Amino acid sequence: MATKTTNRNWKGRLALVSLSLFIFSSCIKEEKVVVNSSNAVISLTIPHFPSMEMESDKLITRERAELGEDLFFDPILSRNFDISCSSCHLTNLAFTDGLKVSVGTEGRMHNRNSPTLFNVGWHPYFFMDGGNPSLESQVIGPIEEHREMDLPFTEAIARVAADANYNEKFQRVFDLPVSAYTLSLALATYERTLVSYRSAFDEYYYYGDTLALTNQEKRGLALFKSEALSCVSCHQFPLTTDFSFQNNGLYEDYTADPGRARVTNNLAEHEGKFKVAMLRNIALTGPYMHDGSLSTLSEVIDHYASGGSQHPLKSDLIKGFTISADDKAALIAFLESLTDTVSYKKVY
Amino acid sequence: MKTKILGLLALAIISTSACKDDEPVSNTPIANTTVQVNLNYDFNFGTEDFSLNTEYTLDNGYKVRYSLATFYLSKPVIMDDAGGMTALSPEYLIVRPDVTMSDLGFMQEGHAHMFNFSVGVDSASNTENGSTGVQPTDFSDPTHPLGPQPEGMYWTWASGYIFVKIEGEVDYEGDGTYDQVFKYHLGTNEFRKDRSAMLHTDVKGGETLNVVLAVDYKEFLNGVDLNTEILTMSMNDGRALGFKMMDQFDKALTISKMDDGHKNN
Repeated sequence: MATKTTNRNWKGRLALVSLSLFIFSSCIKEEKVVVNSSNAVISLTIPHFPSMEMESDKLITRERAELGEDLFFDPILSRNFDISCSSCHLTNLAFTDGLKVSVGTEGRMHNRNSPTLFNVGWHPYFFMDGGNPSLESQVIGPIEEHREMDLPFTEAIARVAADANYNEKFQRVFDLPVSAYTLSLALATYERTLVSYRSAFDEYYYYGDTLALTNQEKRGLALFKSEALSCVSCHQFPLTTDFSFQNNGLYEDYTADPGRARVTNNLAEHEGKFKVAMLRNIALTGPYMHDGSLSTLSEVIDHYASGGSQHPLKSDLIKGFTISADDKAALIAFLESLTDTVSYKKVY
Repeated sequence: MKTKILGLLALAIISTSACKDDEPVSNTPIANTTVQVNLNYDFNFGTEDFSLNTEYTLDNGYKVRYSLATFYLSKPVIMDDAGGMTALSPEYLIVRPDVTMSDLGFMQEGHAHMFNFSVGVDSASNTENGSTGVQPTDFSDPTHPLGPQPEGMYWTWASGYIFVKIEGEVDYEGDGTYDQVFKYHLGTNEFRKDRSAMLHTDVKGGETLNVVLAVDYKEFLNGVDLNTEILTMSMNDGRALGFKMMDQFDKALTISKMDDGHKNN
């Protein structure tokens, strides 16, 4: 199910990702969008997604994205040159790492599960507790965090600036030297191009291909949207999240990680609340929950079916439900239909 | 020579007449009616001069040495006795123990009644808790105080500036072995300290107004239990200690004006 291909129905439907080229003409092909001018400004418009908001100086260009991609895969940003952004955000796992919690430089264990980077361009705030307001400034987080790359950001800037190849690229791409502004913008630009929008679900739900989902998947979709399960209340389409902060009743005691309260200092209102996770490519992004404590989608459904803990801030929507084995399989099949094997390809 | 002087005078008249009445007072030097304002720093450990990585002794015999003592000073203003404000520049300063003086630009001659500033970053610029505002990645100028700093004066995870960052070690027995690290990372909007100091001095054009900001890092630790009060990131369980240490820093900081090379307390 997870490998279902949707290429046949996407032929000629490149309007789904419309790359508006403002400076020079473009040449768009189905498999890989090619923009002829390296200075082209790319406007990512996915018809069934909301528009991606960004400031005018943060427009996506092919050159910026490629520079950001180089940095994303380069261990130059880690203290010991032993890991890169891509170490915890693997392309074949929808930019997660398959681990319960991430492992940083020198094998240091994080306390949170690596989130997918797909569609981060639509996030209104960053990190699971929403403590950071921009894709640019969040870049500093994993670089400086001692359980991740553990490199002072000023040192990261100095390292990249000292590399003749990067230095030349930054001057060419931004007409500016390597700085906090340009380094973060390059990485953020690459991350904005990580879009996922071409699952079988999209084809069925937004483009009317009634054969894109099996009957079992359709039944799973109905369950997902049902009042009894209430999944869609928070995992709203099309992004499969409403970006709200919810306590999903995983624990009674959140001492290990208070979630949103970590940044608001308001345990009374925010303890155990985390940003609602995006479900696109969910079959590839396990283990699940903020701490990777649930290994499979089956375990996740069992958790919600149980009604979770009795934490006073638990979402009112999590009341527990009864689900048959058949329905559970259908729900999992639907979640797997959110897998997108096409969008791994670059959009620039 | 006369021609040059007349030319300068004419330029000054043109510059003055170009100002609009409703514009804020500029601290750009104009002719000879302006006063240079300098902020001088005086870092001490009790009666000793203070520097990083130097061992000092507390009254209880504990030996301490600081490895980091950096803070933000923002929005320095001179207020005259009619309540008129001259905003000095830069708006934000990052202050480390190896800094001796900051050039705060100019004020017009007259009466300097008060010197006002904040320890920390104002809430409009501080991007606390995911709100929008200024972030270090907004700056391509590597020297901008709100840009990234080597000691990390910004919490990305909580998106706020660290107002005061002090770290060091303590040797309880005085046996030459440091037993415990202390770290005080103080920030979030509630921690900002607005300070106002009386200068009450008249200054003439061409003179320099020297203000002295002193920090006593012995006083900072006075009344702190270095066995237990050793770590705060200002959040959650560490918030109470964070407030206490910010108050300690506030108490350790004094402002005065310097006349003819001597402090006037």
